[in-house]
Amino acid sequence: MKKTLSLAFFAALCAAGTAFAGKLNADPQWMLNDDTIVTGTSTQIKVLYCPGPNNVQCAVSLDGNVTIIRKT
Amino acid sequence: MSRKLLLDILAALLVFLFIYTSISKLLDYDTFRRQLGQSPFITLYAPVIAWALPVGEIVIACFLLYPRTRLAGFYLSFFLLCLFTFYLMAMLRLSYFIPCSCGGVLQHLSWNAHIVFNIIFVIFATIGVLLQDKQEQTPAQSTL
Repeated sequence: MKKTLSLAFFAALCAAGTAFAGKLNADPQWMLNDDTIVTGTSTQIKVLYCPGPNNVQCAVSLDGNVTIIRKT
Repeated sequence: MSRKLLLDILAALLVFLFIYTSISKLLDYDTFRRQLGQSPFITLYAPVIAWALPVGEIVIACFLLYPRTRLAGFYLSFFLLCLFTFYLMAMLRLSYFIPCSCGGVLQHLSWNAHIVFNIIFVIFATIGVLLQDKQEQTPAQSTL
């Protein structure tokens, strides 16, 4: 039981540490349709600048990632 | 590899997933809540789901930590991951361009990659249920 606890607890500790460390990392940059550069996670950009589901391009990632966010 | 070691590894993987995503969601709570509010299926329930989901994930992780509650933890993991997968599939049909409300790095996955990721963890949970159930039955059978 002790070994089981140690392995699972180790995983939990690593997960918590990774989550907090990820929060400290710099967020990626995005270019909006009006050429404005904004910073944030894809979720934040979608929520703040590109609300709603649709197929119109709204933002493109500038960090070498091909992610494109679309909006209403 | 012994059954017990495999169960430990499966439980550890699920614990890592649930703790990581739940803490990431809680650290970015406002964004997560607004993101859920934009979802076409759960807009009405977004305020409740925004805190119930991370808390539920932490509870499931706690279940997986202890051998006595591990089977329940595997079952709950299975149902929650299946629920996520069906939700992702529904979202994929509705709109490909809504970023996932997932925690941490998982939000950077594409929808298809996320579905594959979820299915892999559903398989982990299924193996966990089967092996844990067998493990718990084995001592009982030996006493008969």
